[in-house]
Amino acid sequence: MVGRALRRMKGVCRGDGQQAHRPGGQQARRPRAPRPRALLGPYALLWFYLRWLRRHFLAELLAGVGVAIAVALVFATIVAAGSVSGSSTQAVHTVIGPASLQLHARSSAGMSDGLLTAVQRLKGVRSAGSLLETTATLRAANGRTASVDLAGAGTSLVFLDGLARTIPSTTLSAQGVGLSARTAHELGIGGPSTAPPGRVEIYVRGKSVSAPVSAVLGQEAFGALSQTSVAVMQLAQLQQLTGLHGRLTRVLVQPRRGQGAKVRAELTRLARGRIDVAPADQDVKLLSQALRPSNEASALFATVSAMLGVLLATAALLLSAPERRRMITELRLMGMRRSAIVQMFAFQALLLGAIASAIGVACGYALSSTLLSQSPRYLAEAFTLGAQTTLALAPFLAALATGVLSCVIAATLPLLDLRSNDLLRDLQREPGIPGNALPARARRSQDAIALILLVAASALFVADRSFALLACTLLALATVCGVPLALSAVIAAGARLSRWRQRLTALPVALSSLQATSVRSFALAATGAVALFGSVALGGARADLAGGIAGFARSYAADATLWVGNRGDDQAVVEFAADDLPARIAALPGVTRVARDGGAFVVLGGRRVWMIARPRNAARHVLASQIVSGSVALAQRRLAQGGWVIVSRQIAEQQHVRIGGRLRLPTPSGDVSLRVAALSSNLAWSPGAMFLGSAQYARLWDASGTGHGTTALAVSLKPGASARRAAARIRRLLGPSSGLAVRTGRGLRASIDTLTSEGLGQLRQISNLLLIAAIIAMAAALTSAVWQRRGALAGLRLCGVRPARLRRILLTEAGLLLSAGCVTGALAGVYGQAIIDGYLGKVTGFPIAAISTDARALEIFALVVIVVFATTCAPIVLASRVSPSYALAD
Amino acid sequence: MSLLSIDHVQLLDPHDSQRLLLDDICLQLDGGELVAVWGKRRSGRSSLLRLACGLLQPRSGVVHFDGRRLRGPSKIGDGIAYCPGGLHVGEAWSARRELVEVQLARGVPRRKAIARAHAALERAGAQELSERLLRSLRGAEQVRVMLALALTSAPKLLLVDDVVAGVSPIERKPILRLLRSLADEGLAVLSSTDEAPALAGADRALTLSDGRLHGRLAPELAEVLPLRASAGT
Repeated sequence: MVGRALRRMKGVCRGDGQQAHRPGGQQARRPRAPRPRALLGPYALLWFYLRWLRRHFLAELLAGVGVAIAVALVFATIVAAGSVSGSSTQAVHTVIGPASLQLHARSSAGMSDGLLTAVQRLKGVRSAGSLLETTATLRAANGRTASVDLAGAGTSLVFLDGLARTIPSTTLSAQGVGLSARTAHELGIGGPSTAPPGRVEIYVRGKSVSAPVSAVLGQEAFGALSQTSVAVMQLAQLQQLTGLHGRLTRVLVQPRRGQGAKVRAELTRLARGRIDVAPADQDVKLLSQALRPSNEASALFATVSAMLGVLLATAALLLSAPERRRMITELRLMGMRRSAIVQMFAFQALLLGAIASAIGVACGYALSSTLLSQSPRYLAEAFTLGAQTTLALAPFLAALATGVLSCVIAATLPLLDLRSNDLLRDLQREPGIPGNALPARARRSQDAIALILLVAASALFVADRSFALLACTLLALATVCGVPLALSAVIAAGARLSRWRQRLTALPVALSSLQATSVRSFALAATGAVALFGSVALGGARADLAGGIAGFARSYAADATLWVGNRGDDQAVVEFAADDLPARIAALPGVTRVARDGGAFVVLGGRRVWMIARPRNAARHVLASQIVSGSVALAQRRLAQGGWVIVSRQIAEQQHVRIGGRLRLPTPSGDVSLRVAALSSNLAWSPGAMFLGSAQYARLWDASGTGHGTTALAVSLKPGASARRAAARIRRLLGPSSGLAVRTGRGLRASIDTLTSEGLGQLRQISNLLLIAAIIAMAAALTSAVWQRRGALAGLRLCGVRPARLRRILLTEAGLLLSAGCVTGALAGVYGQAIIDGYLGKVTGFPIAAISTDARALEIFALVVIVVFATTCAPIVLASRVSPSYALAD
Repeated sequence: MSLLSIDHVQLLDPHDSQRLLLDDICLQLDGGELVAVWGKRRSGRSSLLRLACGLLQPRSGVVHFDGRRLRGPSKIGDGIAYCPGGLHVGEAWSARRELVEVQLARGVPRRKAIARAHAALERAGAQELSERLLRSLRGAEQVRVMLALALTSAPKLLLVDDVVAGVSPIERKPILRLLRSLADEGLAVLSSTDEAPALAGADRALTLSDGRLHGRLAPELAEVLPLRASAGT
């Protein structure tokens, strides 16, 4: 290589030495030796890189894949997280149009429609529109169902210049229901077919009615709402269907210019403290708050994944570090200047980074709209959610910077050699294979750095759990720096074993090979360590979160054997007219008790809080498992007394209230002051949750006198009674026209589990992708390392070593590397899992299961080791059969 | 049958399938014999040795070793030792350690491997080089250690390519004497060279030219140093 490169260099510098003869008889100057330029030309840069690629394509490809994975994860997560809030914001603005204020009912029973007239009469009001909104389940003739926000819009909304302006007039005609394109798609209605959409069954507030589909509303008629789960019908029809005659849930108000404050004051007067007066786009802020925990959790996962991707890329580039170091020596011996070498390395890093980042962005976009697409269906009962992928410049730039920077940092590490004035001597003096040995001093430094980083990570986490990301980063770096120590320990143990068992002849050879190529060994083991660290930490933390939520779902559903409520209303927040139904159910054989549960969403401190009201002893299990501070028994007694409330720790912190302190709660009967009986988790509802005594709930929420207030019936059975038979009897009692569904505790739990696991889908996909990336990275790194060693293996074959022996040696070596790297990574990963658990607990407020509940770290370790080992077997077998002639050809 | 028997072998040039590199080669070699093959560059000397150890397969003709037909390099390390010119193994550790590790790689238990390495280095006159880094050895030092490495497998046939390449004239004689003494101990040695002095001490000296092996020495080698026996196949 030196000779050719030298010629190339001379070619590059051709202009310098060609002035020996001059025309006109002038005295010819003595030709001077060509002096290399300070910087290389573009052709020379490309030539060197192509030459490098020809020899190290696999290593370069591996590094590129690592960078692309990191970039894809960063890009996909940012885009996916932004898409839900972005498209939901568009949906909110489509509904409100030019309105800037709203009156929002505090109960699903709504407020009197007389308020609309009163608002329209206010002097500063330019226009006002009304809506009645409720959660409903639609069922198509083909049996497919969809949970939707069912909105009743009146003609007033047309005057507001909002949503109704663009909707075809037939949509709001009597007896028809218009479906958003997304809802129609979910139900399997519409599409390219010109056939009429047919009818749908609407289950709402305990009733069931069939209605024709008047239109499927696409982008042109419904704007951003077309991509949300929404159905719309005429206001009067929905009022009749729900039994909410003369009721509204929202009045949207457009004040005249400069009259906003005055109108707001007038609205507050009209509300009399029983209705929320808020900005019309209040939902945007509430949704943003609700999504923040999951977005922050996703961001943490993505950042940790990206960091691990960068480390994987660094480890991959480190595999070719010995060759890069040798190349630097050769180029210096040729006389190439330091600046030119730096330029060449920077060029190669930038090119690799740019190409890998571009691929990463493309993959990230595909991921953001498929695997990592957020499914916030668990928030759908409280918000109108969009699902369109929206793009912005910032994520693109962030992803590109991640990729290019990681390449530059990783590829230019060998440039540290340029500090020396006698590279060749330094390289030859090193023990092991020249350029491939990690000096003892560097190893000692790494051990010290690992220890310092570990201590720093622990200190940061203990100081404040918000520093989890930084602590994780330090821990990952500590893991990488700690690899040489683990490797030394494995080698020492192996050496003792081989001395003890003289017949273990492959082991000492494998150990010696690891020692001789310590940079390569370090890179391979570090790849394993980083991969395991990420997989165990992120996978474990996600599993703990899912475990905690599953525990909540189990306890939430365990408080009754059977649950009667609106279809799809897992959170029991949609009221229905229970009338004498509890008494009739209680009279059925096998039933011991029927409790009326209540629930609602309450806007408190910028959060849409989930409020649960159950009678005494009807929330035994859920409280016992979810109270994080305070006495369970005392809290239950106080709830039953009235005047007390149990709130999520996050709400208490936000409201600066402790147990025994007072909290002001907005209710349909006006604001009331309640004392905090205990603190709970968020019950897997990110904005927060609270428990209220059912008697107090009935007083405060049934102020309208509609007689509703019930959101679920909790049915307890006699010991030994069949839940299936009891459910069948209740269904018969309800009759075919009922919109209520009867579910067993197990069914409700499964439904909540499904929803929450969809909510955690993004985290699951990130950790799964990381695990796959880890396996690919490890397998590719080992394959690349084995393949690069064919020359040395051929040399051994020339000495009479049989392929079977080479296989045994290579497998032993792979096993040692895997165990050193993966054990280090798994141990650090468990620590990382604890840090991330702490962070998730703080950010989401969700219940988190304890780490010790499963052997996940061990499972991941076994999975990675087995799959990587199995994947590497083929290249090992092929490499071991290398012809001895290969050593001669080389 | 001789220990090594090459009968009417033809070999195509691995780099040019149209060119016949070796043609109608016949050679018999027994234990205790030292045969040197002289040829110019690209005459096929190295290919002849690789053919003799099964690294190359003939187009026609057969190669027998120890009474069995050679179909591949399976006898390397099991009766045949091949020393190509220059290092082809280990550049990380000392000569002794490399010798021990190659034997461990072959499956020889550690104690036995250490003893064999020690004996081989001593036999090759390289005991003072045992702690030197293999990659730091030059010329005769390297040849001696490579010969020691070959001896660790206790071969019957030793193939030495370009035996004195890179060795200073003053150090050649001891190397050639070493080969002679190995043959005297019963080892069959086939060496190749492109330098006339390297034929010294051989029982037979053969010339390889135009792809054929000649029993007569080339005229320019007529005055070459006393051979142990006259030329002949």
